[in-house]
Amino acid sequence: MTVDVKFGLTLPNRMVVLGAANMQDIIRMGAYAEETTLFQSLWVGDSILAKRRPESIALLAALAARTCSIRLGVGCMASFPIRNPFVLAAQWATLDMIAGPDRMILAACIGGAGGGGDWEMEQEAFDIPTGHRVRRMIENIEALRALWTLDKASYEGKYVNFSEVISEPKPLTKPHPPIWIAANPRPVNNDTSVIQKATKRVARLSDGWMTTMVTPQTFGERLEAILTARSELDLDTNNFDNSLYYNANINEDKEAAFAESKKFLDDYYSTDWPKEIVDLWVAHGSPEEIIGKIQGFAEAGVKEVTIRLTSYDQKAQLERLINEVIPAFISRT
Amino acid sequence: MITPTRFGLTLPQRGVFFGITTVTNMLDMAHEADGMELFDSVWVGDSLLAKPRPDSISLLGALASVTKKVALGVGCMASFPVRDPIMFAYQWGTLDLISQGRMLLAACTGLVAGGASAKEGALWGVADRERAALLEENINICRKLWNSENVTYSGTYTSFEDVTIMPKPVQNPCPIWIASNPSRGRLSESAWERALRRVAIMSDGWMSAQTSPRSFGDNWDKIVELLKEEGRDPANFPNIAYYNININPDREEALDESKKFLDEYYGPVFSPSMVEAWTASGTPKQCIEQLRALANDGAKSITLRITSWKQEEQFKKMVQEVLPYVTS
Repeated sequence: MTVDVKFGLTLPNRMVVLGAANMQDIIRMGAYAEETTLFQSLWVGDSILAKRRPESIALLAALAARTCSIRLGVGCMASFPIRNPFVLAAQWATLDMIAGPDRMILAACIGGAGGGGDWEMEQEAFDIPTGHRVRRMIENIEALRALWTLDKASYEGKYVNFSEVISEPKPLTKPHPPIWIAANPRPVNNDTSVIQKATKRVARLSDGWMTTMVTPQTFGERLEAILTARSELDLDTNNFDNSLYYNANINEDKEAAFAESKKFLDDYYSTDWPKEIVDLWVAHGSPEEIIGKIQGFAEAGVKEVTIRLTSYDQKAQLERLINEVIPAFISRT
Repeated sequence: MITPTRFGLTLPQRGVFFGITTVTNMLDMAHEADGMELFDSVWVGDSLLAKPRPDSISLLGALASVTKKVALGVGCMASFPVRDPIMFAYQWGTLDLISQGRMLLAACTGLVAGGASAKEGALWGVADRERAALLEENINICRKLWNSENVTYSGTYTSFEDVTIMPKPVQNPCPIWIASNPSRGRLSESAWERALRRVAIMSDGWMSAQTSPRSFGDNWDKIVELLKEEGRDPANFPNIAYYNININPDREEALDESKKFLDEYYGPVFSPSMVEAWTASGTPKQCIEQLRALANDGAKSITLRITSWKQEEQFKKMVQEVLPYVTS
């Protein structure tokens, strides 16, 4: 009955600054997830000042040195638009060398608003207005590709400009490590053009799409729009990757699962999430309910579901995920 | 005579470009050193575009997770003046958390003759003559961001209000050393003294190479004098000599291979006499004597880079035939 879907595990790196987990436990959790062979990737989040947490590149380096083959991603890299492209090119290429080819995934995003972040601090400290972030994200994506693939790279953008720069080391992954875009656009004042623009951007610029806080139906519609746009641009659609950033709390007592998830998310983002968002964003309840939710997304075209466990007992929840949820998606021959 | 009892291992990071090593081999070597009594630090170098190499921050993140005991140093952090100081302070804080308080930053101006640092700096709008001021300003910014909340800073190059970084480093204070290698002969007396006074005033320790005979000792003697002037106790002020090693019964061959190695590593900028001053070379006995001489000149610890194509073989000889005998 199930369709093919892969799993990722999102490591809740922000728990470290909230005092709810320690750094070593987070790294061990990643190494353990690889040992189970049930996950194809590990993801960490990112933000410099707005939603503070251990820095993603340093953390991914630690994970890369401690694991062998699991994919390692940052999703999403909310600081992507404000990072310097020369530093980022070298740091990510070095991660690629530590991990070995075809393991690193950089899912860039715009950042800059929402989720309870202190965006003002970040905007002022780096002197980058929120309105510049989309353009900067686009330019950094194009700049990184140039720096990684050309012996002498030049780029002319509005914010990023350079000429004949020799960026080394080059990544091991050829032609270059994938750059995805994480986008979950919502209409602004009933204007849906934001969604169309985001769809086009993902189609044109990215090697994969990550999204979150959507229904299976919305996921399916957006994926179709992205793939259609890619066809029109003569870009590959078969190998175009995607991942759904999803949450789970496994507990037969659905109310308790909801309550813990809401508390976790409220703490994580220092905000008060409405019930409908928690319902949309977190698969909570019995294993059967969670399997059903994931099944719905798989049928809508999700290739990978990466799970963050919205719980203060990460270990126990991970065991339940491994033993009671994921096996339902392993095809028996 | 003070002699170092522990040593550092400097990983030959640029060697990934000329077949000396790979990132994986370097991590393995660091892991091995971490398990030995002889070593208490492992070092990587740094540069972005002037002397490119695998990035120091990423590499240190990996090293932090494959070692347990050794201090993890970057020496020197040559891109420190051009990197955004908030971003750097933030990444460094995470490294200190991952390593559980083992990070050691040796910052430097990153000045390179022949235009390489100027060319790198141009991408950040930084001229060579501004690097020393940026080194100082960025050190001050890092210390403030690591020690306090809601930091406001008004500098010549960077200003911001009300910034808090998290996580903070585990070490408090998190050490910042300065790496400098001013040559008394080539600089004016005042420029030489200024470079060393910066160390005495604002640094938690000093790292230096030795590219002419006794240059480490001459500079250290001056730093001791300046530390006293500043009211600081030289006995509590750490230092480390960044040195090379090549063990070979034929000393000429050892020096030839070291020169070839350094030519590949940096371009042909080091003369044979500089290579000789900077490298413990020859038989184990000769290497031991040279390391003892360096200690006698004031080096409290010494970090060694193997300037050879045979990294593993040389590492073995170094830990079996040389280092255990330097102090006894």
